[in-house]
Amino acid sequence: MDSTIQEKQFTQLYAEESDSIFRFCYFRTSDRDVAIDLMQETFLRYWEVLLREGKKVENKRAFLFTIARHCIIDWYRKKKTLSLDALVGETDADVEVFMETTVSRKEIEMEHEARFLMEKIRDMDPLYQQVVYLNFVEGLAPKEIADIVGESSNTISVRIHRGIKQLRKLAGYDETHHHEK
Amino acid sequence: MRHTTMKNNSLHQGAQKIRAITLSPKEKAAVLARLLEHVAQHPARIVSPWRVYVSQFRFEVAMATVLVMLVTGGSVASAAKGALPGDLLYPVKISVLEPAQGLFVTGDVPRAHWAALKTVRRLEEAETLAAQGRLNPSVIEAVKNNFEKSANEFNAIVESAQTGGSSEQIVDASVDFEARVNAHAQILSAVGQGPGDSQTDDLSSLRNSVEENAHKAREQRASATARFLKRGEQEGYASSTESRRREASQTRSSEDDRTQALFDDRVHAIETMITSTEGRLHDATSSVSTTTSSVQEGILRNVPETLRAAEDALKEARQRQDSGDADKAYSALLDSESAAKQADTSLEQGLRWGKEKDKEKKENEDSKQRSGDRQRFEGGEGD
Repeated sequence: MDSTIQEKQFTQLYAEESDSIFRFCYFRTSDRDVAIDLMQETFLRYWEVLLREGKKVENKRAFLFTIARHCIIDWYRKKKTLSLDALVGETDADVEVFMETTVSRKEIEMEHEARFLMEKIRDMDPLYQQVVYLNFVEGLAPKEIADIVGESSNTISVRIHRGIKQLRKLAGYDETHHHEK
Repeated sequence: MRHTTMKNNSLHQGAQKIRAITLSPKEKAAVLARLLEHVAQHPARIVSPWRVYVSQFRFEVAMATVLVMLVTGGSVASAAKGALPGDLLYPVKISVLEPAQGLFVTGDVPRAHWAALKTVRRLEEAETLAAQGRLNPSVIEAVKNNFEKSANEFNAIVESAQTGGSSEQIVDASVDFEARVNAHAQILSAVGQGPGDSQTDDLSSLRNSVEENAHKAREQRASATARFLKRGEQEGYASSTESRRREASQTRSSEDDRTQALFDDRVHAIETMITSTEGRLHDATSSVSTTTSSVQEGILRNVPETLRAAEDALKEARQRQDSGDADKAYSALLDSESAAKQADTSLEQGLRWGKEKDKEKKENEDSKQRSGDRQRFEGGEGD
């Protein structure tokens, strides 16, 4: 495959996935400008992997989300170093949470149903937030999410199941009244 | 699965509305521009997917290759190689064998020749089917599509190879392509003028497409030649190799000698081709058995006229060369070469048409003989 073809494929991938990667970054950071920067950084790192390792990427979409997740964690930790106290006692799950949609520098513009769902996702246990978002909103399969967060498919399937139950309960649609949290 | 587990519509609507949150076209374009700038400055290291695959599964690939060779090497693959449109194995030829062969063709010039070969092969297949009386609208449509695909592939390769100036090899590939497509345009025209049967009426769409591509090929060859000559102005006419360029730069007189020698060699090669085609044409037309069809006669009738065009162009090339107009001499030389190759292709296909018709005639006679034998046998049994 020549470099022109790789560039075309890269452009095609950008056309197909830039919105979903941007959205993921947007809801994790609550800042449009930061999200655009992180999305750009994600695609740059993706190209660097091709450049440095000549690596063949099996699932491009899952790989992009993996890179985006790491970019967000880096951004989050860089931001937190301004407040060392906040870093003390930080858990892995803490760096995976979705930010507030209404208290950021600029409020995220979205329709009522979208805001309702995002607020419910943000109210969920941090362990479930990301997997439910990736599965329910972006349509990624448990295996893909497992690759992104570095867990087994079974673990992710269980988290999705429990997370969705929790989401339904938080949204007021838990018919069983079974307490998950 | 996720949709079945979530029963609440408003949550689904929420997901849908979230997916509607996107970058603005302006934001998207701005980031893409920055990315492409970075990509242009840091081109990716290219690793062949084939090499990656082979390195990961070397043993499996070797075993699979051996198995494929054993299973298909002697039977399916060889049978598919000679398959014609409409045959059961033709898709194997088009979709498996040829793409597999194409994987091993690298470089602009070999790729251009490979695309040209496939283009011409599609037309030869159509002509063989026409000689056998097996053409029908769906087969013609499939031939036309495959022909256009390969012709477009050839055009794209030549166009891309000309970026920054054309090479002599690309000009040669264009001459070859032009000659053969022109020849087949003439052949299909002769087939269309044959004794009226339904298949010749259906050929018009293919014939139009071939004529259109023949026209394109002439234009493309002219463009490749012009670009090559423009490049030659800077590097020295016909000094296409490094050693030739070194020699040419030594003295003006040695450059002239070299140019003249190259010109004479090429003229001699074209003259040989013209003489050879004339000889074979003479043998063919004096043989009663090979001139059994009006279509074949129509194809062969074009050959002397095309040879005359080749001779005329050759004469013009000599005159231009003598008058010191090297560029026009070169162009006329290519005109002559193209016409000579066209005549050669027409003669080959005309002879092949005759053989196919002979074969068909023999098969019909054999069939009649068998039918007569059976009737006699059945009649004898009844007695």
